[in-house]
Amino acid sequence: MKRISLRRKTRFGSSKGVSTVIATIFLVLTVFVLSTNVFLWSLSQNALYNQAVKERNQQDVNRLLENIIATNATYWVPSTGTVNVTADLVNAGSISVQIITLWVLDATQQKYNVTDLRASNFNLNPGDHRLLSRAVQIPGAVSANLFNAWIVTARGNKVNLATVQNVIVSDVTQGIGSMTLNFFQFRYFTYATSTKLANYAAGITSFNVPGQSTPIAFGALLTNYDPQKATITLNRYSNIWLIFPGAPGQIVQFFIVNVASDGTITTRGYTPVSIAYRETKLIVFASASSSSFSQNSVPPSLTPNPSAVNLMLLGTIGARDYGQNIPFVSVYVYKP
Amino acid sequence: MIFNKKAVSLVASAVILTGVAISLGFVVLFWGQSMSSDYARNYGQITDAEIAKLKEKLTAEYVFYNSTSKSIRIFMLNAGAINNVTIQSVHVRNSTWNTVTSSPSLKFFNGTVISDQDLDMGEEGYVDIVLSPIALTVNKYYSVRIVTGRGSIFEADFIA
Repeated sequence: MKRISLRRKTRFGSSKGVSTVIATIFLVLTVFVLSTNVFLWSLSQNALYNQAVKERNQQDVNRLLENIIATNATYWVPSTGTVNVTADLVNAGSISVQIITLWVLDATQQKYNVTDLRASNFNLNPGDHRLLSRAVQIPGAVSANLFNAWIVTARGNKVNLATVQNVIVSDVTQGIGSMTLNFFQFRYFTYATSTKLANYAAGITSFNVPGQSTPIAFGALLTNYDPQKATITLNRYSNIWLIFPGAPGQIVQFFIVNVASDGTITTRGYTPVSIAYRETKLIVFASASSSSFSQNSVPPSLTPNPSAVNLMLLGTIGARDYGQNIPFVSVYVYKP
Repeated sequence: MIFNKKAVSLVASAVILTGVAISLGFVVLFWGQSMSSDYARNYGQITDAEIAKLKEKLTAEYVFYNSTSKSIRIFMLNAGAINNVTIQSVHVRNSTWNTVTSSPSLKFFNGTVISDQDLDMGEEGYVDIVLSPIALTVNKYYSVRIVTGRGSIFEADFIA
């Protein structure tokens, strides 16, 4: 009887252990599966968050890399309530910048206006330079008021338009006028045909020009340095005039003409040429008449002769009349 | 014979015990799984909210104090990388004083009310905060704290 009981205990005692083992396995499996799921999920969420942090950091870095330098800001009030704002913008940073908004504050009146620049694609690549010029309406604004302006970039940076002038006085030629002549680029042209300039636009850079009725034209590189930053428009009376001290009273005028890119002169009528602030343009003076084109030359009676060359400019500057005479150049008219 | 009958009940009890253990195991497994998926869902929602918050960036382009109407106008730009930035509240304060305006009305720069009352990416808008009858001290330094619907905080300073 004792032997049977022992055998029974031995046999059925092991069946009780099976459930414990199964339960343990389940427990371990449950804990393993659940913790693995949670762990992997946490990892994936952390990866997502880290990615978002990286993107945010990159945005902040890009924002910090923006470096727009805005100088030479001017505020010109042509009429009450209208403020013409101009400034030189240079992207001195290493990243492209989109300018989206221009703010102008009339500090005297505590009034402001905002202009959306998005439509005009005011975008600057690294190193780009652009002139910002906008007319802004601020009711009651007059020129005596104090103005301030700033721009906002698409990344949210704000840049104040500094009024520091970096144009040296000799550039502006204060006391002479708003337009300057590039002395070293003064040139003349001969003709390829009766209405086409030879070797346009290079011409011949020299201060010795052919006379003896050789048809010639003059080319001058003019830059608008108007302190008010207004656009200068030259009318048909603008001309280069040569005065000959050796032949008192003798003057030869070469009137302004329109020239196509291939050097062909517009023979009928003249379309006024506009030069924006800080813009440089090659202006050609060729015609004997201001009303229609006809070739011009220095007559034999004045050849050879030294001559003082003057640049007589007429037209408008902004909304006002404009007139300026630029001396400085002399030429020697030789017999070809 | 009697011994064999006892064995049957023992086997049955062992089977029942094992079945119960397995069933309990499954119950615990499913319960744990539902708990962990709840946790994962909550964790995911929190992470998504944090990511969305991280992408928000509001720039105050200009803060203008109107001494006549005793109100300030805050011009903002959504310079962030996420749409639907709402304004939950705006705090105007200095070192000793603070006032809160909840859910101010968002308007475009041209004055029209923004229909969805949020700023999408690159969008600009302003809010008016009426402080009247409180008047700010002219030439004194103040700051505004803008709290978005997602909980981001942006600050800007101005001089009244």
